[in-house]
Amino acid sequence: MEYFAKQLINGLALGSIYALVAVGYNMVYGILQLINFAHGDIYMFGSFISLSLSRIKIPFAIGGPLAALAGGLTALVVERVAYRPVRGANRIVPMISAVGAALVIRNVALLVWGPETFSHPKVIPANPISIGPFTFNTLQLVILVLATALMGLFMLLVRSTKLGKATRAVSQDIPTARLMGIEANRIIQLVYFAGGFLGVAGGILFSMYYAIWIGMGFLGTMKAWTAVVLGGIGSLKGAFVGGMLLGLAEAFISGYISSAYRDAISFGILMLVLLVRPTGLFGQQLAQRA
Amino acid sequence: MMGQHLDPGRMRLARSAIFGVGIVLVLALPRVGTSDFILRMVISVMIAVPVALGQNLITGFGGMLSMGQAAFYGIGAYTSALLVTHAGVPWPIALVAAGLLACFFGFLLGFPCLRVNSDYLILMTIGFGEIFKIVAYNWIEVTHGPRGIFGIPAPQIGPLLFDTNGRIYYLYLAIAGLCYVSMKALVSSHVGRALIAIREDELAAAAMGINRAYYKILAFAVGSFWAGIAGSMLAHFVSFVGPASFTVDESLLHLQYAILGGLGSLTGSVLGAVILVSLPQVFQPLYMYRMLLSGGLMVALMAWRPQGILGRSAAAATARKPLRSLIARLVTFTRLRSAASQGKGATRDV
Repeated sequence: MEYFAKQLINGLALGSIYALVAVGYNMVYGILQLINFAHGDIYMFGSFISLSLSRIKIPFAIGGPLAALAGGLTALVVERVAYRPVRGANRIVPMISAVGAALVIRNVALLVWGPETFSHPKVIPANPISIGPFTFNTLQLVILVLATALMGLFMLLVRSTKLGKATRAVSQDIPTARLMGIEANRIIQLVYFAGGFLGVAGGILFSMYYAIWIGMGFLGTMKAWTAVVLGGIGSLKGAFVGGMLLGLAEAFISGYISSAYRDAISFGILMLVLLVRPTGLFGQQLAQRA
Repeated sequence: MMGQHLDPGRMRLARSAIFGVGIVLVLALPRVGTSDFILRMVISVMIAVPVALGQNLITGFGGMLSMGQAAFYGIGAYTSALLVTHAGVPWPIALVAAGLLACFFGFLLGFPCLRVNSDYLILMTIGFGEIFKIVAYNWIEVTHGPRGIFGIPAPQIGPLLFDTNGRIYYLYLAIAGLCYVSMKALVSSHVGRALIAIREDELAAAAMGINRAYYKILAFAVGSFWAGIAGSMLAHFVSFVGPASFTVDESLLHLQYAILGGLGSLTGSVLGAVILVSLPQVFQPLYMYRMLLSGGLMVALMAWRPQGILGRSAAAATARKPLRSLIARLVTFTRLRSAASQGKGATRDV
């Protein structure tokens, strides 16, 4: 029971990080139907910036948001340079461009920070707390609360502000949204910025929880994408639930089956879900663009 | 199009001349005291050629963006290495077995890929590649994990041992040549036309009675087959296989071979493999930045020339005589230059 509880909490913490990363990813997909391959690499890049800021003794209260801001800006640059010029081209073109952008970011990071694995300073202390059979630490608690709060805020913004309404309009139909006087490009930029910002927030939490290394970028893209597919494309709630499910699945797989094959099994689950229910658990049926 | 301004007879002559000189150069290379470094590099290109052509069949002709080619390459490499070192199977059989096993997995992966749209396809293929990598790292009893398999013997057909670079050169040239010729025949046949039709408009192709599932799976199976063959070539050339050679970065490289030269152009894929394999080796200082540069190249290429070097327009990037279009482009270029130097206004229609 205690072991189970440990895995459960581990999974919830991991899941909320994935959810945070997946929300930004899903927003971009919902609007442009573009797999943002650079998303994970932006999340890695921002986390490294946070690491560097903490090394030059900038307090985390400033450095953390600054790094998330830098992540948002990186996403803007990627959108401008790699995605906008090929928007509207045949489907395969923007995807290749996105992969190229991811490669560039990854290798710039490799040149700047090197291939080693670092540990991000644990700004949030990991003091153990136990309630009944549940033993967890403050870091896990903070991750869970912070991730849920950020996501709740974001969903509230999308659901009930004018800006959110415009975003939803753009995601349904860009030309029509333009006719209604919505500046689609502005909205798209905003979505990219928000996606990068939330992604880096997740990335910093992830690097405090585990470690920080170049490869976490690609892994992040895959995890976000898996979460989105599990939960359903284009649904914020779906991304949240999908992220949580993925985190829990991974925690239990590595706890009970095999930690070496954890990622292999979670990719296997992904392929299975794609086969059985390609729209995910909460996804609406997307019209096939033939 | 400038190509139409050219005299077809002279075009044909120029084409045959370029082909002839190229073939003589390639055949003579190991005989003229070429350094081992260059020979090894050209052999590496020959190993990359079947991979590039297979990727182009899947992505360029079939229109399916696969990022798992390295897994088939790896399956081929491991199969051949294990068969020869552990079971003592003769090399030619191991080579074919490597291709067939990769083909079988390609066939299996092809099935789920039919059910999903192109975005999920990419994810499926990456997922497959990652699963392969994780298994290769962790299935220690068979793959020896991260240590890999050492001491794989050189290719041998009966009494013929291909143990020097000069000998391997001709053997691999033959395999790569065979691959090119068979691929050319395939894409020039009804299979190629059906794949292009599916790529251009799946619904219309289905309405014309083209069996989409059959051709898509066929493209996957054949593309994987050649990747497996290339894997075996690699294993017996470098005499080592390890999981680090078959990562997603390797798959990306395979995709770049096909993209750089031009999706849907077989000559383009060969050119892409030549450029991407040899450039980082010739300019050693570039090696460290190769992934950075190739990433930038992908972005720039997609923005300015999505059809690649030898492809036509993105929509019609078919196998329509890419060499001819290269010549036409060179001629156009020189004409434009001379027109510009004479101060005439020249239209950009390349």
